[in-house]
Amino acid sequence: MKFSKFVIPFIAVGIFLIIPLILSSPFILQLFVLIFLYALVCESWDLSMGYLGLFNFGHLAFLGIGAYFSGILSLYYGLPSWIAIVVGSLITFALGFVLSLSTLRAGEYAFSIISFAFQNMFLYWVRSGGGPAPGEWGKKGLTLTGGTQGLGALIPVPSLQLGPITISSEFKVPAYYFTLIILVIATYAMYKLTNSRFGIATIALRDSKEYAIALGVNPLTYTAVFISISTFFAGLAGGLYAHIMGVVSPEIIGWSNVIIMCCIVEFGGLGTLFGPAAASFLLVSLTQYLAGLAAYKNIVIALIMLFTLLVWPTGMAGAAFWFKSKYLEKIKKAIFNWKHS
Amino acid sequence: METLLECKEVSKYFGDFVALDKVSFSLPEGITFGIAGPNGAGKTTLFNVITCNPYPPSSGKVIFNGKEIQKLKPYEIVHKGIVRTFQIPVRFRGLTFIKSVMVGSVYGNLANLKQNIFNYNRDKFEKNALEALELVGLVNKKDEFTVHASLYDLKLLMIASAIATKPKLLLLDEPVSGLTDHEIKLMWDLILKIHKELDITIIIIEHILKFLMNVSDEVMILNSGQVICKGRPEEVAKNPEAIKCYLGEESKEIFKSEMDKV
Repeated sequence: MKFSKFVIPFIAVGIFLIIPLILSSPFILQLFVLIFLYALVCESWDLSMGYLGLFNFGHLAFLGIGAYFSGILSLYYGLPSWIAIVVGSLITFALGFVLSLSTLRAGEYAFSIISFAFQNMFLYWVRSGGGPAPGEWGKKGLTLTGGTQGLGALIPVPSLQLGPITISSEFKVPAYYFTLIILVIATYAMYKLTNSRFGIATIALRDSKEYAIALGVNPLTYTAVFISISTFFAGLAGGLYAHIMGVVSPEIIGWSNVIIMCCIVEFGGLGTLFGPAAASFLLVSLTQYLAGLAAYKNIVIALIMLFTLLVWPTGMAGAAFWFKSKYLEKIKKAIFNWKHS
Repeated sequence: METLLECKEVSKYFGDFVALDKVSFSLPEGITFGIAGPNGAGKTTLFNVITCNPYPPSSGKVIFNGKEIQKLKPYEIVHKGIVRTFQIPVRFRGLTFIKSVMVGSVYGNLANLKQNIFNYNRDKFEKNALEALELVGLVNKKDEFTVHASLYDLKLLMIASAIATKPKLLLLDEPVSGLTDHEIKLMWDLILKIHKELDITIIIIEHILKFLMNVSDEVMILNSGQVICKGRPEEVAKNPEAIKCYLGEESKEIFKSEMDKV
């Protein structure tokens, strides 16, 4: 019985494993890499938004911190890419912890405002360039974050080297499989986390904080643990993004992207983990398809979000559960009857 | 009998309003203690300040097992061994029955993150949670979500989660309000069972007097934040001041007849 929960994820992973063998178009593969990274970000956002019930406005800032810090460390300081990614993720972990401490004094609503401010501060710091780049690079007129052009616009961020394999946007297939593997591992880790005793504590805190405390849950500790882990995965996605794409522009953490990501999480279904992953597949493809509309594509995204919130608040995952509870048993029965008739 | 809980001149103010006015009482170990009084008397406020959830007392001392606890955090008080239920039933909508009890079982017994990481033993806590569910008779519903639970089930679930934290003192806030007579009888048996089998001292707030007077070894009447009287139920029922402010003239007869029945 326990296996049946994993049937759909297994089939999905199986399909994704054979996609590069069928479709060799570099554009499609590049799109899939982007989808996998966005799925990782949205799943990690779901940890804090869905499981903890805290709206972390600054979640994409952590994607940016992961991307910029690991990019800067490997571009200007010559750190090997994979070490830079790990260090960048750990920095986001620590900053997420510090940000989550604000819930102690200020409470949940203020946390949203504080994270909103945090996102804006980071965005403006990135756009301003953050001062000259260290050493030789600074003398050539480069700024630390590359300003509005982005980090790696002139000299690309070094790509990820794993032994003989180079993972960058030049080599689509290794990048595809690498991000897929990372996504599967991270999803499994997050799934295990949300079903563990820590997940129980955070769901309890989300549903009734007062009651959870009355049963001995320390609200600050488990909020901090969960937010730190959620920002860690965002930082990991950011680090991978920087080294695979070779360039990080401030647009990935801009408000337009925040809205798209938020829409993905809502549309997928809060607190379901697999929902946002599936939704990122649909909506990232859609935004790429609508790229011709430029800024107007945000209107489409906003309409999807409104529709989700007003008509079907449980999102795609909720729709799937509804379908399962309503029709799946009937279908199973029909198949059973057909087999035995 | 040793004193388990002692309140020394505990007061709680909300601005000018005095919710508790220098309430003092001591509670021996191993009894069931009833608290009654009109609405707004400060009964639930007393529970709130004993558990510091959601607020501590404005002044005074709460001494549990010989240690002052009024400055502790609410979850630390749970780890000391005091746990409460709520007047208005609360639930974790996203959790099943067994997982709701697991919250109490795991987090009531593991005091901090370090213990949670290193001292966690899934089988032990799950067994503990199942035992608690079995005691209240909900073990057949363990995998259902609490969203659809009835009022009676919710009250039982709150008690199960509470006893899964292995408390020394259990505070029940109106455990039988809104229940049918049959359910009240079942709850009555359950509370006595918890009291005897698990050896837990219990404080009960309740408006249904025939339940409270018969289940408690001692009763305290509160009015406007002050203790009116305290003693054995038979004595309290005869106390003229308690009759005047809360019990009413008929209480003696109702109480007597109910006692005869039991």
